[in-house]
Amino acid sequence: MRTIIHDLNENNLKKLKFNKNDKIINALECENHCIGCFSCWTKHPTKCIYQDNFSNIASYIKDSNEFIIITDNKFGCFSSSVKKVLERCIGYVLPYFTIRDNMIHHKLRYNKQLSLKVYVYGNINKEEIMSFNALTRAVSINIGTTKYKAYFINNIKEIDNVYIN
Amino acid sequence: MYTLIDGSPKKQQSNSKYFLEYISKHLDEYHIYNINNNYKLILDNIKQSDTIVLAHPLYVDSPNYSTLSLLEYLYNNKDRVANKNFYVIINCGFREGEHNLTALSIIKNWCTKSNVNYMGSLLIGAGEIVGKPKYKLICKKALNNLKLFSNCIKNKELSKDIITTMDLLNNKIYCKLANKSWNKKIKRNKK
Ligand SMILES: Cc1cc2nc3c(=O)[nH]c(=O)nc-3n(C[C@H](O)[C@H](O)[C@H](O)COP(=O)(O)O)c2cc1C
Repeated sequence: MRTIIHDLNENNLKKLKFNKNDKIINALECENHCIGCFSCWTKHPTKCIYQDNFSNIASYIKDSNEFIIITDNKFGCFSSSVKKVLERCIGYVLPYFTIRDNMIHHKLRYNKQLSLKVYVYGNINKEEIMSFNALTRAVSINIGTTKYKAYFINNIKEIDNVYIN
Repeated sequence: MYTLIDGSPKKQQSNSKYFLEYISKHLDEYHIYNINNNYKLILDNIKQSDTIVLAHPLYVDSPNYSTLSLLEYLYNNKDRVANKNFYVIINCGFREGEHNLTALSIIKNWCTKSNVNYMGSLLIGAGEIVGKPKYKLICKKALNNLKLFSNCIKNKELSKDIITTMDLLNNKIYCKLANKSWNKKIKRNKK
């Protein structure tokens, strides 16, 4: 199973091939954003305080072997829409701190090697590519995986060529 | 005039707000906005000021959602933010201020694309400690850096990118204490 978070409009989404059991999450439909209350860690582990379709994405990620993010480039970062969903997934890891790769990170809730793939579309310059690579790496360390890669797609029309089924 | 923006989405007092309030004590003319304010209101204020100070938390190794969406909005109105001075304070939960470097590179990309004058940054680790008055005594270095940074802002001078955190402790002990405090919170919520 794959968990796929994207911010594509209907036209571009149609070009992608999905597997039957993929969990596809349209970030553009997410209304509530994280308010930093940490309930997903301290009150009802993995579940967000807001009860909607985005309350328990951490559990989909847990059941996946691939975690795919498809996002517009915003200054070398995920689009705010995609970011809104990602912030509601932190229950995927534990609140507790530990030292990993010489720096502090969260202890892992699940013992698994996820494969993290980030597909970035939209115009992008050299500095932004550097930021995105650093960001993808940082996220991979935080979720405890060594399998990660960012792919850059200049023209959204080509997303079906680049996207690996 | 200064526009100070608290990028934290927290309902209660944020660490970002604490840092901005500290800075504001050194300034004559300023407005503090919270990120939940209407973006147009913030933009209108920016138009009248020459310097922006943004303080935001690190969420998933990048600026938090509300801050990002404000940056997108300002970029779409970039003729009105162009040539303003811009300082940023990023604070994170982990002890090392270095965790904020990825977010800083994103902020710098935004400045370049919006033609904003990037003036410097303060990157704070252990933000939940440094950002609370009750821990003042174990955060002397960080608070001193905050003072240096405030002076740069007041004089509209360039600042270095300053990386700072709480005094004492090493990473191992910090983890131990933090984990104790997480357990306390979890227990309290069970009652
Ligand atoms: C959704 C979410 C994601 C976070 N991600 C990180 C992170 O990647 N690294 C980190 O050191 N702290 C992270 N934190 C911790 C915050 O940066 C920290 O609590 C900060 O002090 C909050 O500042 P504020 O009070 O100004 O909002 C995260 C917190 C939340 C709620």
